Amino acid sequence: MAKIMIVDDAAFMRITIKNMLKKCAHEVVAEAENGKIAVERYKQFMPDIVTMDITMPEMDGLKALKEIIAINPKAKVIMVSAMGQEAMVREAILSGAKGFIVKPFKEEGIIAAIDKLA
Amino acid sequence: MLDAYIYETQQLLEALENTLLAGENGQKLDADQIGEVFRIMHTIKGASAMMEFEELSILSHKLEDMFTLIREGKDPGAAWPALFDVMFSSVSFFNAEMAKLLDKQTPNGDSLPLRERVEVLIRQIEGEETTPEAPEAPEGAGAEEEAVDAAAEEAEMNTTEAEAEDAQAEPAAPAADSAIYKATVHFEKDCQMENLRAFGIVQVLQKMNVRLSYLPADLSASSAAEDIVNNGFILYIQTSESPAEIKAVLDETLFVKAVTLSPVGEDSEDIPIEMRTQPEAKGQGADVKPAAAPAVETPEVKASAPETPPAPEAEAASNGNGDAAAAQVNNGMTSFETVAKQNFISVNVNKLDSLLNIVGEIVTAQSMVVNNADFGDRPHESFDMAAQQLHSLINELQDIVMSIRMIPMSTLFQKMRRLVRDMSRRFGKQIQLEVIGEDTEVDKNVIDYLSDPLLHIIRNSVDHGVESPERRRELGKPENGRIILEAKMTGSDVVVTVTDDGAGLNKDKILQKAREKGLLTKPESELTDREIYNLIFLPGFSTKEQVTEYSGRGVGMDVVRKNIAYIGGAVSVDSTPGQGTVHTIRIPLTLTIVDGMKFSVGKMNFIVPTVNVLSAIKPSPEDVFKDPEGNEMMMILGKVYPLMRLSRFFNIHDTVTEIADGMIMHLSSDERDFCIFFDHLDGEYQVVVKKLPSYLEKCSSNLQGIGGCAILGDGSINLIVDVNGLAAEC
Repeated sequence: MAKIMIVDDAAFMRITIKNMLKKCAHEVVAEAENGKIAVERYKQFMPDIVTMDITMPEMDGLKALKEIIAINPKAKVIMVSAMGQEAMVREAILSGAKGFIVKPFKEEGIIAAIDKLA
Repeated sequence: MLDAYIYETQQLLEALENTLLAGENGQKLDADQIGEVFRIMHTIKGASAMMEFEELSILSHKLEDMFTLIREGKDPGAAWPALFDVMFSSVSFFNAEMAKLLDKQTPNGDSLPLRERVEVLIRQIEGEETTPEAPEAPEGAGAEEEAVDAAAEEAEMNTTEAEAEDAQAEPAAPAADSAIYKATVHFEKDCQMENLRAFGIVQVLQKMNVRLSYLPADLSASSAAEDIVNNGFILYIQTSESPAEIKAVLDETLFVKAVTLSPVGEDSEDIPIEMRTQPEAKGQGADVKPAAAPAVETPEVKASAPETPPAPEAEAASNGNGDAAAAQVNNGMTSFETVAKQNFISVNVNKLDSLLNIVGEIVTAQSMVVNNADFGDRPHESFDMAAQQLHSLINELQDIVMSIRMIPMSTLFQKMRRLVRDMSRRFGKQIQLEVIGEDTEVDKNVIDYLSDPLLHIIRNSVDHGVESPERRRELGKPENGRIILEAKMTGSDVVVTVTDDGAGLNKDKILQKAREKGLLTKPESELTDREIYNLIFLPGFSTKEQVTEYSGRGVGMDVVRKNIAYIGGAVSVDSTPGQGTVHTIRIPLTLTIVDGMKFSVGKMNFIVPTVNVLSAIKPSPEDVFKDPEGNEMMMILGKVYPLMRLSRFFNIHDTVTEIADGMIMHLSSDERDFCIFFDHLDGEYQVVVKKLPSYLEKCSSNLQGIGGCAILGDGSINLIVDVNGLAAEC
């Protein structure tokens, strides 16, 4: 069972992902609504896997990803991207993201992704 | 789930509207605002797509596209006004769809007309750029500096990678035992951006002891994703690692469905050209796919070319985004407010009601425990300490529960801003809406009931109040009309005023109409101006001569009054011909914290709001005398005020009767100042006003003069004096 942190500025997306993950054997230990909080919570909860939205106020997902990787180079971060964010996804991959998922995604998609990393 | 979607989308739309309204005055949005609009559209797009509301998702996508352009530095210039119009129309469209969803209907609106308008704008915005876009610099000139920063940052990042690459480059030279494998990777159906997933694989493999070549060679080409979907991602890997290790890496990649890995002969036809020849020198890029042309001319970056994303456009684009990302971080401070807004969740108000009640009960229970007679007189120090802590926690809880129900007027006032904007455009009037006190917090219910009346009043002000610019010029008024919307707290009331500087009400017309409709109850000569103006609130009264889209819907001002009366409020109007009209709405807070003075009459405890108290006096009998009708009067500083004995008024027994034994409080009400006589003053408290239980209204007792009740920390029930109600009785 993996500890998961969901990072998204939209509460709706956090709820959606959380609901989807309820059906698998992982536990959502933390949520964050921007990158800055995500980095803090990462240190606090040390989750196994992070789902990271890209476009967020305060600190975006790319910056947060970099800071998290700086804290733990082995951190498993899945970027949650939308169509049209290719360049950012590319940068995320270069910065150490373990993969990405494209909105809109289905339950099977995100569960499969997390199971693979867990 | 749907609820969360609707709620959040509505919140976002509201924030969006705010931003648009803030920007429209200057006829453009600044960088922060552009970033915010972009983020909002992006979030709505994502959420709508998840919910499979296609029209909503494509429209928001289009809008996001448009703002991506603007964010990258393209200035819409002359297109701004049209852009604002499209944005406002889109907000309306989204709102309408949300309303349908709330109504349990399918959002079936057609966003095509809006999308077409956006398309036109996008073309226009793209056309604005005079110089053809150079691939290395998609940013506008102003962003160049940051772009350089971003590039530098990236270069720095790549340097470290390049070092790592250097370290690996030595062993990467084909060892004697190295073999070449061909791998074909298929991704899950519909996982999207397959080219980038492949790019990810390349990144991971390059960190290992391998040489690579792959197909499609250019992962940033527009056809790459499709190629991979159709043919799979094909890699030739030369390595001395075990094939199992390579396969594991491929298998572990997210969304990889199937991997085939097989060795190929050294001289197989299959092997791409560049694999057959030894790399000339490390870092030349030969050990990566041939398309990896160095993107930037700086030496550091060149060294890292093997790691650098292939095509120059892509490189530039990623710089652009880095720049945008940096801008976003900078925006952090200003957009904090929006973040806070998005943190709201919706809770059923009934739950809050019961929460509040329970907190009240807890306070009582706490007092019962702490002051329990079973303790006797024994000292109980540690218990007292625990009790003290409990007490402060419960106080905090009470405060929080109170504050939960209170929401600022700003949500309501926001709507009005939009209304004034839309209407003044439509009627060709120039009206500035000034908003004061939008932070004033009131109970949720109040906002709900206040909305329609306020809309109606403001419609009237825009439509009938403020004159057209031409007319205003003739009258020597400034062309820009003003409507001031103000909310403020006055003691236990919230007062909302709508003031316009328009023509004012026409007294004669009102009188004539009232006469025709037989609404006059007093001789005309006895009516004050104010009374005449307030005739407009009578049922059946309406001076509308012309029905317009906004202000004439067959509803008169009597509906306004009815709605406000429903929440226990009152509305009045005053006007100065030629100078404007003031509408005043007073609403008592159904729920509020009041600073009050506590006093007792017999066994009854009362609280009077401190705002109404002028002074409290220990009286001497000679200050009190009777008027010829036997009513008691009190002399204070040479002035005489009526005196009311609360024991008589509320019919309370066993009370102080001698003036010298009791206390006097000098109170002010809207109507007049007066004095009350009671037994004992207990001090000042902050209390939570609660409505009287409804069953009290059913029994016949006299509730005049009682505005509510409050439970104090000790669990005692106190009646809250309605000073205006009392004043009417003396």
